[in-house]
Amino acid sequence: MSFAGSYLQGRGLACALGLDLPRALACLAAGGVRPAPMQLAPDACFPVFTIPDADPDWHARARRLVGAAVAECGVVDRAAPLLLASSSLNVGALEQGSPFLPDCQRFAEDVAEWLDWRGPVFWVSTACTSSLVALLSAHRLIGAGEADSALVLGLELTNRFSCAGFGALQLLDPVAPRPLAADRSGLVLGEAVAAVYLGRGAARWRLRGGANRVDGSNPAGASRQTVERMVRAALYDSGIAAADVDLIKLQAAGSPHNDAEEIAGIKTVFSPLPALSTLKASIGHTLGAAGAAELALLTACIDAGLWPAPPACLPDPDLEVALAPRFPPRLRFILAQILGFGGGHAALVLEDCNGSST
Amino acid sequence: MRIWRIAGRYFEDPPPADWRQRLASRLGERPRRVGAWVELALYGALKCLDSAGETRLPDEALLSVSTLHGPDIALRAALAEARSGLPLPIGFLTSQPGQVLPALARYLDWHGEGRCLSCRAPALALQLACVEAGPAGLLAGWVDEDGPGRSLWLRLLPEPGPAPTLVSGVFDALADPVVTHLASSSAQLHLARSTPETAHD
Repeated sequence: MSFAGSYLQGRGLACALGLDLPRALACLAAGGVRPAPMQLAPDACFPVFTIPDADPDWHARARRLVGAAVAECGVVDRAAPLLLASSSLNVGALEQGSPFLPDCQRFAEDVAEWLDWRGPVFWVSTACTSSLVALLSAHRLIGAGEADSALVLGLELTNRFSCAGFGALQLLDPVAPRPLAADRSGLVLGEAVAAVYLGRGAARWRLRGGANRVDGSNPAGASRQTVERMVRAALYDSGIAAADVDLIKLQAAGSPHNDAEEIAGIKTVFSPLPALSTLKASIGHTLGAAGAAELALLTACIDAGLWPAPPACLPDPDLEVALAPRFPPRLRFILAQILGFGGGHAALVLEDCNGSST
Repeated sequence: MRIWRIAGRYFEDPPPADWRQRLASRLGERPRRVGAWVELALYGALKCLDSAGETRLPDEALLSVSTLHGPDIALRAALAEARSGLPLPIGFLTSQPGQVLPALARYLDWHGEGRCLSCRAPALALQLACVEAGPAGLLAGWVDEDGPGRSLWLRLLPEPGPAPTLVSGVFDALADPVVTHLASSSAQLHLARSTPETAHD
């Protein structure tokens, strides 16, 4: 079992719902947003959730969004480790004609320079699980006494390449995300810049632990056996039992295969299932930023007493589950999962130190 | 500060020019659905496990792959393909650094915790891996395909016995077979070397 936990000292988020968390919550309360079409070729068009910032200059936009998210997060120690979590990194800039950098670490160092960051800089790239893996690393660095705090920066900004790649793999829904729905047909990608600052100082949200498991059997999907292993390992690492979990923030991106595998996997651990929630219908699948973005958004929603309502979809009867329509009666421990591309399966356990938050 | 025994090591830099043929011979076939960068990672990882006398990586071991360039050549090719529409699925897959993990998982028969990351100093990646690894230890690699290529790997296990004498060292010294143990803390690398009395391999 790991140490007692690191605490969420700050968070910042720019996503399709808004340029910061207050605006995102207001937008969510008002019914959210729809994804916009991205035309890749005459016969290839997919919806994407985009951040409401129309600046066409990729670099200028990225720099502004990163600066704003980190400012919202309220980072104190810029000598702490910085873990940049991203799948696409600066591919959007390359598409605009920016030259290839000497190596991929250089972009992470550029981001650090934007922030006047003086601490060690890592780029974590484990596809969809990148920022959950980065949060777990930050948590362990703090637990081992190697750092007093750490910043995880999830970054996934607009580019045609990610959309085209997932489209080529036939993983995208051409209409809208429909998590756990009978007619779900794939992911809808989204943009996000999410900053999560972990440290030792006590705060409302404590990261108790987590787990990350790789499965090589399917490079583009999840497996129920590995979901089960991941969940059991995350609970063990966090020192809690399955019955303690009040809410599972699912991956549930709307993938026909992965949604079914995820539900089958958690059913082997939880009986009955705790309340279920997903944020993919609100902000899309923000790939490497998803773990940090969804953690920031979910905790902000709970802090504000705003429940992220499930989308209006017909549930898949074969899954025999439903997303929770309102706050569960007790809300102390949350299991937050991200699964998928690259065989990645990662989960964190969050504790609301205020106890029950309804 | 935990002390790690170097149970296996592959630090041939650069790898032999025919490393791809050697890998195919070792596996009995060319690895399928992976790019050259992943093949290079796989070559070094298998050589390291061989050196440790292991036929598979235990599920409880942590796998860390560090890179400065990642699958840069595959990314450039896939970006060029995508300019006029959708890239080939295999082209997109091989352009993604995180795909190294499921590929290694398949060939190392491992279902554990892994990460692919980039950092400027190789010792920093080692430090992070040492922080995160448990009793089954870790397999850590540094893989880049620029120039003649580089696929350096260490298999580390916790040292249960008496602590050897450690002195401050640098990452490149890990290539020396007389270095038997290491510890990593606060971005500092500490190494222990075998003496004629302690050498046993």
